[in-house]
Amino acid sequence: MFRRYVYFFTSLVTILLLIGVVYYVSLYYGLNEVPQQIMDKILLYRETRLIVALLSGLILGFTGSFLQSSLRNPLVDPYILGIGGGALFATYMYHLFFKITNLYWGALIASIGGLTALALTLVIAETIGGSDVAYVLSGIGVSSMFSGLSIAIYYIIISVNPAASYVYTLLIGSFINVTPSRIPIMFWSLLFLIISYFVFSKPLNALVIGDDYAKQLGYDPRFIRRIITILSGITASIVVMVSGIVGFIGLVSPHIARLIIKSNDNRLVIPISGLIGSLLLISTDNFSRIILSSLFGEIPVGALASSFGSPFFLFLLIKRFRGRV
Amino acid sequence: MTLDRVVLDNVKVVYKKGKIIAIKNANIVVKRGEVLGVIGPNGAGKTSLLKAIAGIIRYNGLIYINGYEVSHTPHRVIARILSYAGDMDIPEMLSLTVLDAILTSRYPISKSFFETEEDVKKALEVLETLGIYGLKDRRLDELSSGEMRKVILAMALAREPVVILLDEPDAHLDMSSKIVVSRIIRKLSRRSITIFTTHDILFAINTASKIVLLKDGEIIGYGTIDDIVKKDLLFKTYNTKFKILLDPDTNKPVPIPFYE
Repeated sequence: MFRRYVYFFTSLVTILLLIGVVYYVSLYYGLNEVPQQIMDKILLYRETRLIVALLSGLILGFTGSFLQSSLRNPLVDPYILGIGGGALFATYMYHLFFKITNLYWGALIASIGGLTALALTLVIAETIGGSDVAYVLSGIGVSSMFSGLSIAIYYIIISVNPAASYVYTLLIGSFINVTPSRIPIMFWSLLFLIISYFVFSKPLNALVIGDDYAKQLGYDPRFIRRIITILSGITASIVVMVSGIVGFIGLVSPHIARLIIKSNDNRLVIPISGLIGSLLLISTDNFSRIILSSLFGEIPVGALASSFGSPFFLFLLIKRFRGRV
Repeated sequence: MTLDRVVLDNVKVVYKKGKIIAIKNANIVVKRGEVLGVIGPNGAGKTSLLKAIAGIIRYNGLIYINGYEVSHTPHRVIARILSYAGDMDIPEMLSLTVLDAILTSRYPISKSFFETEEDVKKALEVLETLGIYGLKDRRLDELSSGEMRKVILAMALAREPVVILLDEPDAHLDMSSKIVVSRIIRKLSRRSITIFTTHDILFAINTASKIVLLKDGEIIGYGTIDDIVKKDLLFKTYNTKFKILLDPDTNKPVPIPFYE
């Protein structure tokens, strides 16, 4: 009993330290001979980018574990369930029709897109049997549809409104175009997630055991599932609006968390999953910005996340179905 | 009047908007200290009866638990005094360990976010009583069905509820485990109200103080062992001929079905 708290706190402290190290190194790397005036600007940019990456990682890590537990499905995350594609599509529509965009309207529209795609995925998954893989298949279908539409719309945007061509980075997921104005809304999203962590992590443990079991413990499984999926849908859509589609972080982080703390208790998994998400994102982003950019150019973080995330996903699929035909 | 007992007053359970009637007008009173065994063929409505009492499914009529009417009382209030142990289908990779799962049973009565020492002590005690202490760090999805049964029972007991509803607590168990479970249920009955379902008539006879015979949602018989374990009632319930012997040691009836 005691041992799992030891694992939990050691992991917590270690990850926080690692995040601190990456943060510090990324912030000050290569700034020796830069004049003071430029230095301030560079620091501001790097700091913004680091904070957005940190917050995105936390939100994706939280929503990933929320969705996996509430849907009782270890194979899902906001990206696989189509939230990413839907939010991106809605964001592009917004940029297509409005030349001047407002952050909060943007967040609302992205959320509507993300939630619509999520609802579509869930309904289709339930009608095709509701198994683990049904969710994955239906999610892939829904997100391919929205991603395809998004790419088409992107080409219309650059012809109609060339000033908005920077939205290109959202397609692959990148922190290149970040501005400090985006930080508060992400911070609020995270705050909601943290509050629901305290409210819902115990009910989620019961929900994983079963709906009837949760009911006789006094929880309403349908209500909890609805709240958790809606909240995850909204917050993950906001991440898409700010930094684009960063796939698989939400899938990988909870599983890494479960592995290192050797427990599936949501009270322990959720915060560690959030921190792992952050650590993964800032490390990948800065690896790309500092190391890869000197070799090939700055590869968007979304591309890198997918290239290590999808093998992990395939590994999970095999692990899940090994030994049963 | 309704304290210290479970009262079912004209309880009816329907599924699919009235197309399927799972329970027709059940009237049952179980007092503290009593153990009620519910037996009947597959699809008789045994599980529906327990789920209705637990407030998991909707029903018409009234069900009182210690004076609370179940459908008019918030779930969390009922959860403090009642536990229901039914089948579980645990998703792989997200499964909790046995100890964690048993601790979830104490959520309704615990106030802190993490477990207290008392929670852990009680959970370990229950594991000890059921003889499955060694399973505590195993994951639920790795257990055999017999082990899972015992863990489900442990999850029902860890909360120390007044009303305990057990859906087939003896399923998948070997003979000696059945006897252990029977003994635990009888021991519990001193301070609680226990209702269980089973397919094993002998298990019911040796565990329960009263028995309900259920068929197609209808109560065929309800009373003490001697009242209920009779050829005609059992034939009516199971459509099978029984001969009934008397165990010379316990003086309890032993129904034996005819294999024709």
